[in-house]
Amino acid sequence: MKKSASLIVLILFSIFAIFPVWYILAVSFRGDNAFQVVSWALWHEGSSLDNYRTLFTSTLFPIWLRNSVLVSLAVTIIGLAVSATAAYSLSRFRTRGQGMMMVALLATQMFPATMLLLPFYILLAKLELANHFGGLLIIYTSTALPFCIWQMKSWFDTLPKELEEAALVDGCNRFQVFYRVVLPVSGPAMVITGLFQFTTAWCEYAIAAVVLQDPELYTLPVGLKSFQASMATEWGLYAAAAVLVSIPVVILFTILSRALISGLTLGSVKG
Amino acid sequence: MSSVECRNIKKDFGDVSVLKDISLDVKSGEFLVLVGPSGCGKSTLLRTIAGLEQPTSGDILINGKSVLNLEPRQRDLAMVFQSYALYPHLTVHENLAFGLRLQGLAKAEIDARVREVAGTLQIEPLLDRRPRELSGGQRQRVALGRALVRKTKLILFDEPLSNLDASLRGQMRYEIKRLHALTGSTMIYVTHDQVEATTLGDRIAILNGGRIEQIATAREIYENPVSRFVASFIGTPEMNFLSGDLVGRPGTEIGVRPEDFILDQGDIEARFELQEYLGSHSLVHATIKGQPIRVMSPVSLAKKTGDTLRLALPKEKLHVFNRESGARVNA
Ligand SMILES: Nc1ncnc2c1ncn2[C@@H]1O[C@H](COP(=O)(O)OP(=O)(O)O)[C@@H](O)[C@H]1O
Ligand SMILES: [Mg+2]
Repeated sequence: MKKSASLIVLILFSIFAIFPVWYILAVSFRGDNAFQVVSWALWHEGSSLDNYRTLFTSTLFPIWLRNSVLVSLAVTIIGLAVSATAAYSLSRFRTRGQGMMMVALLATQMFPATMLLLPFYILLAKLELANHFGGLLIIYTSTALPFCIWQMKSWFDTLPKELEEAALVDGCNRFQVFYRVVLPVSGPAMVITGLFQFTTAWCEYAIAAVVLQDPELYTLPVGLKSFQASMATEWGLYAAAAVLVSIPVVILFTILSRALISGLTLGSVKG
Repeated sequence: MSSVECRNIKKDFGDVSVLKDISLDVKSGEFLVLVGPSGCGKSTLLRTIAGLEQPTSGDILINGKSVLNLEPRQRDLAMVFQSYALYPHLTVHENLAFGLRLQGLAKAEIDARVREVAGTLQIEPLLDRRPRELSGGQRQRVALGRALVRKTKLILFDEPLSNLDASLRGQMRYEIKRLHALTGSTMIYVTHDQVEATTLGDRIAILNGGRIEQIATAREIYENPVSRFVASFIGTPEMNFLSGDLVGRPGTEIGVRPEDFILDQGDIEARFELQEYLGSHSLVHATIKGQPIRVMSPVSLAKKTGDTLRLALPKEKLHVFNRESGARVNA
């Protein structure tokens, strides 16, 4: 009884979650005017891959794709490097005002990034980084950092200190301890943090729309929105682009979820 | 081989004074055991020698030179941790090779040294496994191997056997003793287990509340404990303590080891309570004027609860301690 009830609930919620994806897929295969058609079929008469072809041949989509990949990867790498080192030092070295620092980091999270749009824009304009990837990188990494530092610090706090002490005795200096022992056993935490940074950058619209004015510099979300700006929204193209945008995120989550589950530190300390 | 000298080491954690003026000389090639109850500062002392803690005051010399300003890696020592602390992301082979790689040794040399140590410890079949795929005893061996493979002149052990079951512990105790003879390295070994202390140590340092109560050979400590604490800590079953009034020494406490009583002689009358048969001997529980004692008897006694047991206290084996300070009083 209980089992079948929970099964029904699960199925309902799955449909609820999958329906938009299904619908977008279906629209992406249809012609532009097919938006109004009410049908459950994924593929029906008149469906084709034309929208995808058009995306790659006669829009700026390939350039936006490249832009998004570049920006997101850069944010991930810079963000991981900065948050991992900052979190490690906050976790391991007791300094005056450390508690304050952690609270201050958390406090910055209380302001949504969109609220900071104007000051950000003025800053970037003064630095001549508006309409420039550099500006976007600075905003993305700095807004994601507090959360990432907290996340990495709580991971480092759980690592047994004997592990690092063994490395110190074995011949490491502090920095070698960090990159030969601490980083390699921090895979799961780095993956979660990196994913967080990648997806924030990949999906972010509001800031990118303000910072980037040149269509050649658009990231995917801004580019997608531009389909809507023209007189008649090209829903078919829009849907096809939306599908393509989600694919890398889905793949990343699938592959990396395995790394999360494996739990690398198991067996270091007695167990 | 390294000699180690601690001079008036003090260590405070905030307001808590953990090490209170420790002076200690470890001779080159010696096996010194630091033993004491949990929380008495053994690990702290060992970690201070390793350079993982800085003493609040005092000096540490290795081979006559102060090492206070040296990092752990510059002190030419290895350490085995209670938790083993193996690198979880590396195979056993890589765990053993870790320190050698840092020294920049050639690959062939590293491999030869790893295999030699793996052979000594019989862990060759495990070289490709990761720590999480090993049993507790196997991890213990790998941790030992990691300390040995660097061929340091000084090896520190922090309760390396306390996570093993009893039979494995006995076996590894023997193994460590053998490795000491084999390598000749100076070894400092921390334990709270008095059997490990007496079987392994050339000399034993007994710590209590951040001070060293006595440093001597196991035999010297067994025969001439300097305090009631030391007397009660070394020897199983534990020494009996009786009021000094019994032998006409008020203000003292007298200690008699269970194996030192002479049965069926003398003028002390005890009440037999029960006995535990232990194969080679029996442990007899009795009371003298209400004070419980334990007596080792080579044979099972044909007595029942309430019977009278005649005992003699051999004069030369009595230990007399000041009732207040616990210090030994010369007989
Ligand atoms: N980093 C530390 N900070 C504060 N107190 C500590 C620290 N390390 C050890 N202590 C305290 O010092 C005392 C001795 O610890 P330890 O040397 O580990 O004892 P043992 O190894 O003999 O059991 C304990 O009371 C412990 O709580
Ligand atoms: Mg300890």
